[in-house]
Amino acid sequence: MPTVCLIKGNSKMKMIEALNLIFKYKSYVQNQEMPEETLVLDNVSLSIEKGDFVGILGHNGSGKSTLAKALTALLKPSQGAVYVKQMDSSLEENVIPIRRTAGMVFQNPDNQLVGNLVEEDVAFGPENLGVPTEEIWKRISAALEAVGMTAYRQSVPHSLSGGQKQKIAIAGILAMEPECIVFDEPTAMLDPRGRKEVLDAVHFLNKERGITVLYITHHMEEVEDADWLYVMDRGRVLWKERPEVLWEKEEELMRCGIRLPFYRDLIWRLRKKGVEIPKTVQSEEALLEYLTR
Amino acid sequence: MGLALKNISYQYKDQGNENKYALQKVSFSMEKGEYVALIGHTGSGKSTLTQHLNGLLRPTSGQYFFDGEDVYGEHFSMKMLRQKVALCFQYPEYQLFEETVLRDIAFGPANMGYGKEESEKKARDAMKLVGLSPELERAAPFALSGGQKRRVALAGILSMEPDYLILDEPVAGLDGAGKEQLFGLLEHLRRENNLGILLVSHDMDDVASYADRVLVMSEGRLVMDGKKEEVFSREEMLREMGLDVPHSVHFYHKLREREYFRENKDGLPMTAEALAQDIAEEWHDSRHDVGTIL
Repeated sequence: MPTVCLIKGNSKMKMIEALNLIFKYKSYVQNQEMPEETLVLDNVSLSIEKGDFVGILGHNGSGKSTLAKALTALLKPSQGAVYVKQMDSSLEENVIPIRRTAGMVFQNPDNQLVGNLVEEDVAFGPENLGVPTEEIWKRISAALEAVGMTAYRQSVPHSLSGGQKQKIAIAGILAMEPECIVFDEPTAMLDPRGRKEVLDAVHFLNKERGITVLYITHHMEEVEDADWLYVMDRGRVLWKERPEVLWEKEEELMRCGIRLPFYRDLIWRLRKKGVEIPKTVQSEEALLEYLTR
Repeated sequence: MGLALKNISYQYKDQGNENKYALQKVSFSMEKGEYVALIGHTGSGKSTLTQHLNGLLRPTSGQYFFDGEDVYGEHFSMKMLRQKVALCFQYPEYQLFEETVLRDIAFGPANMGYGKEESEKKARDAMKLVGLSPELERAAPFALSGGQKRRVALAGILSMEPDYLILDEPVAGLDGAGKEQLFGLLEHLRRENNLGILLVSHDMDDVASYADRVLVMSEGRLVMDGKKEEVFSREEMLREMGLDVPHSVHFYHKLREREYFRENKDGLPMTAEALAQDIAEEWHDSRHDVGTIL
């Protein structure tokens, strides 16, 4: 099996922790001698437990992607600290172990595929880690099976659909046997079927393989059943809530550039039109039941 | 008048012995002021089709008329076609390259042969059109936010004063608010400037909310062309092609299955608001308002 299993009953184990994380960069503006400082992450603290599915929401430029990179040691904090399984990301010797623990999948599958064949692509990560050849073969099989792409092992990545390519990118990360995967808008470029395929794969890895998932998206439907949702606004964590609690903040979310998932939006509009919907209605199915009861 | 494609087929070269068609006998036409959406799974031929529309690709066979003129005729000006039918690629902000916003936007008209002053005037008009404040003229494009950069890119296209605007996933990666602003802008351009808009999108909710007519591509063929209400009434067929219907239609069908509505409604609800209206009317009309206990 490609992954470490979720340890049942040990729900307090921290996968990722950020403490007063600050990230800023300097940029030189035309005709100005002193560089300007931009604060991208402003005192972010968070704690993600092993096995959780965590959605990260926020307007463009709110710091979501920077946060994701800071949590996977792709960026070092300017101040504050990030711990991945208690490893401090600011220490050079921890960078490689952290990246092995927490992998990242990006928006555009075409920018993430390197191999001529699917299996070569999936092998790239473990090869780089110095995994023995025999073990690599095992990992390729396991990773492709986990994303349902076993039949495409010998295919050319470029002949695949967008959703399939993205699943190969995910398999490439899986082959490094991470305990946590950060997804940065992995479905933004996919058609409806591709979007569903990728989402199913992500949920499978979380539920069945116990992989901790951090999922950045603008599509609220994709994080409706997350364990926690973080809302970022101008570099800060504005809220950490359970989805059903967060959706009650319609107006505030709108101000942060976030739109509700379809059924919540519908409930909100129905209430405005005088249709009473009780608070206990917490899903599309429940709304349907309630209306037609 | 308008754009008219007749039996356009496009065959890949360098495919060995395989006769692989990216487009097969595609025919359709559109007029200025129309808002059309083009949907289809990855690899269905959408991009190949849009690249024909502004002359980036030449078909293997078929005809294309622009305002009645044969695009593949001897005397036709491709330069004119590319100016009139503008193509906005995915993530157009990646194509910004100048040092200031104004210079980037003025590049198109300057390239068309307009002088500096005239080009800058057109650039300023375009900035106004997309809602970029004049203060940003001297800003570096790279210092702007994602939504602003996309507006700069769009202004760069509009400064060439096209009649038709083809947009490939224009809101990919934008947040909810940025998305609504961009769609508001497109609607404004159509109303005020009579632009013809062709929206290529994977988001059925967006298509249903904003376009009037929908074209569906599958395996290189144009398989549906009709009003959005008609196209989205074929849920099963769309599913088979890897597509979908808007959330509002899906939910409406489920309510119908459970006989929520006493009578059939006239049209399918294309937005959450229209669906909420339908539901609320039924709610207040029927059982629920009668004898409400206060």
